[in-house]
Order: sequence, then structure tokens, then C-alpha cells
Amino acid sequence: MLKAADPILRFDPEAHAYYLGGRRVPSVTQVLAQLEDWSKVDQVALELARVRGQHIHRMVELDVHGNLDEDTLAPEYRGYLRQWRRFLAETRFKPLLAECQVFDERYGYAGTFDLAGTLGTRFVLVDVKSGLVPRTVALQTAAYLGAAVQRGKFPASAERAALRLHEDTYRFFPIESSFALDLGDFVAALRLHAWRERNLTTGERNA
Amino acid sequence: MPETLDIPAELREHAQAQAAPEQAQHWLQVAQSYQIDDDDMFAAAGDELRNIVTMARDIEAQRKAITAPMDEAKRRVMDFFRVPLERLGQAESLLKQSMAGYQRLQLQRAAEARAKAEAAAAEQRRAQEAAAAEQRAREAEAQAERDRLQAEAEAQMQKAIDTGDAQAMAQAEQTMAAAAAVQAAPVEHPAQIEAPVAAAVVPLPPRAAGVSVRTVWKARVLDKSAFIRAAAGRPEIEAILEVDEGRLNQFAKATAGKANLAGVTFYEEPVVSARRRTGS
Repeated sequence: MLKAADPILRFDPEAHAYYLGGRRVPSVTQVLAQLEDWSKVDQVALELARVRGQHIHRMVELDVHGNLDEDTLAPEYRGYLRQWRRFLAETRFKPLLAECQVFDERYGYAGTFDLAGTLGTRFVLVDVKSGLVPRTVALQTAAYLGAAVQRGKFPASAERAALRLHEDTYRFFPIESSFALDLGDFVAALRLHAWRERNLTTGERNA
Repeated sequence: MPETLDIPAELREHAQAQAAPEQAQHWLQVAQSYQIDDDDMFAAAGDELRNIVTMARDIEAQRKAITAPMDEAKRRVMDFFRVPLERLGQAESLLKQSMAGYQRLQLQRAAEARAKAEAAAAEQRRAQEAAAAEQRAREAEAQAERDRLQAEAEAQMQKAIDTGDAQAMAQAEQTMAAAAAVQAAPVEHPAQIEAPVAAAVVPLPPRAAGVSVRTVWKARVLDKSAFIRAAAGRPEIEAILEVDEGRLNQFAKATAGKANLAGVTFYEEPVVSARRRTGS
């Protein structure tokens, strides 16, 4: 099992910033944030959901690598762990990569995808969600897969999916839309993000 | 209160016979009045008993004198009609037997057709089950091959990820595609036999105007002992058995009550007989 980190990509966890050859590049999440409107959602609840998502992703990563010490797992995450393992048992999904940092030099973006592995006789890149599955997940997974293919981390023939984990259930969402079209849409969003970065002030971008 | 009997028209000319009910009533009252509690009363009762027996014989003789000609007339009429009725009965019986025989034949043919269809269906089921078993075996074989290729593809992909070897990744994709392409060869299933259920349907009995033909369930005892054992303790079946008490009494008499028969008690009952008076 490889926790891949390309030598010319640097990630600053404090600032949650990716640097490619010394140049900061937007993350997949930052690019897609402009397409989502979370302004009407309670900010405290949003922050709690974000923290919970981070913990669940970490839990999945440690479990994939066989390093999860369940005794240290907070009780509120045990249901999520049960559902994650139930997903593995029921679908026989076999992870090959977890929390893998990738970047795309052509378009200039980076990100960390959650999982890639096999599901039966298919290679699948999976994004794990602990809350709602947004419509942008198709663009998100296309961006990750595009970067993974470019970096030789995963094949272009791979399928994409989202896995929603709840405390008492899980749901697997195969993404049926075209990889090429979704990647094209992501690149368009990336260009829009770059334009906004160039032409709008911070206040304007957040408005 | 003595019972009043209507005198039939046939007895209007027989005055003595008309007196019979009254006489009988008298002797009944005599018998009812007796309480035998000493030897004299016992002797007197015996005397009355002989009178009663004599009276009964007399009345019976009167009855026979009147009914004998009637019985004779009836016998002649019966004899007259017996032959034509017997012939008609024979005719009816012949036709009924023929019709029932025809129906039995039809039912037998239907049963044979049903048995044949069921045998064919059973044979087809066996063949289909064998084909299904063969298909399952092939599926298992294909699954094993898919699993093998899938594991190989996963190992190749892991290696490609670890080394960044594009050729290894292409090889992993090819291996995985080969795994996905593994299919069990279909087993040729036996041809469907034409509508075996339809052949098993019993045809309706043939119809003749004014005549109904139907079947009824009947029973025949094949093993009487087994039947008696089966009936024991089952009131609804015990009710079917009828004890021939006349023959049972004969058995009691023949064995002088010494036989040991479960469920039966043997006992003695005094029987009084009286001779009728002569010359009356």
C-alpha cells in the first residue's frame, strides 16, 4: 500500500495549501467551493460537519493501512467505522490507495483523493462523504482521476463513485456521467476560479 | 287411558277381530295389576300368563285368517309384475354398467395421459436440474478464474502505483478486462415439453340427455382386523361399526358365558315360557 506524495508537490496542512514547484496551486475543493452556496447553512454546524468529515477520513485511512487503534476512537465515530467495514464486507471493495495527493501540471491544480481500489473486476476511485453528497462530486472525482491518470497513479478506465457513511448506514453512489465531460467542466471551473483570483478582491470573492 | 284404534274397512265383517284391542287392553291391565310376592301369586300369574298366551295365539290366528288371502292376492300381483320389472331392471343395469364402464375407461385414459405427462415433466425437471447444476459448476469455475485474474490485476496495479510504471498499469488494466470478460459457457437446456399440465386435466364425463353420470367415493374393507384397530378410540369411526347382538348372544350361549372377550360382559337372564291352553 502506498501513501503517495509526489516529490515536487508540497502540502502545507496549516494553510491547507498546495505548492507545485514553489507555486501555489488551487485545490480541487477550493475550485469547487465557488459552485456551492453554504451561506444559508449555520456556520457552527458547517464547521462541526467539516471536523467530523476530517476525522472520518482519517479513520478510514488508518483502517485501510491497518493502523487504526479502535480503543482511541471516539464513541461517536464507532457507528461510522462499523458502516465502513460493512461496506467493505458487502461490496468486497479492495482499497489500493488511500488519502493520495495528486496534481495536474497541465491545468495547475492539486488535491487529495480518499480511496482508489477494485470493486469486482473494476477499478474505482471513491470519494468518502459523511454528510450530503453534493452534485459537484462528479467534477471533484473527475479532477482527482484526471490528476491520478496524469501522474500514473490510476488508470483512465477507472470508474468513479461516492460513498456516504452515516452512523447506522452507508450508501454507494456510482457516478455514471462521462469522465471527459466532467473533467472539462472542472477545468472550466478552474479557469473561472483563476479569473476570480485575478480580478476580484478577497471581499468580493467571499460575497 | 286405553288407546282407541280405527277399525280398517277390511275388518268390518269380522266382529271377533274387532274385539281384539279391547281384549288385549283387558289383559294388559291384568298384567299391570300383578305384584308377585308369594308362591300363590306366582302360580296365579302363571295361570294368567297362559291365558294371555292363548289369547295372543287366537288373535294371531284371526289375523292370519284375514291377511292370508290378501297376502296371496299380493303374491299373485307381485308375481305378475316381477318378470317385467326384473327385465326392466336388467335393462337399466346393463345400460348403467355400460355407461359407467365407458366413463371408467375415459377416466383411466385421462389418468394414463396424466401419468405420462407427469413422467415427462419429471424427466424434464431432472434434465433441467442437471443442466442447472452443470451451469452452477461452470459459473463457479468462471468465478474462480475471475477471482484469480482480479487478484493478479490488483497486484499488477499495486506494483504500477508503487513504481509509476505505465506499462504495468496497462497490463493491470488488460488483466482486469480479461477478468471481467470471463463468462461461464452456457449449458444447453433441454427443450421445453409441450404443455404437460394441459394433458393432466381430467376430461369432463360425457353427457347423455336426461342422464347424469357422476362418480362417488366408496370404501371397501380389505383388512377387518386392521380396520377395527384403526376405529378404536375414534368415535366417528366406531359409529360405523355395528355389533351383531344376535350373533353375540349366540356366542354367549355357545360358550355358556365362559369366554373372555374384552369390552363384552356375559350374563344370564331368566326366560319365562308358557304353554297355551289347549281346547280353547
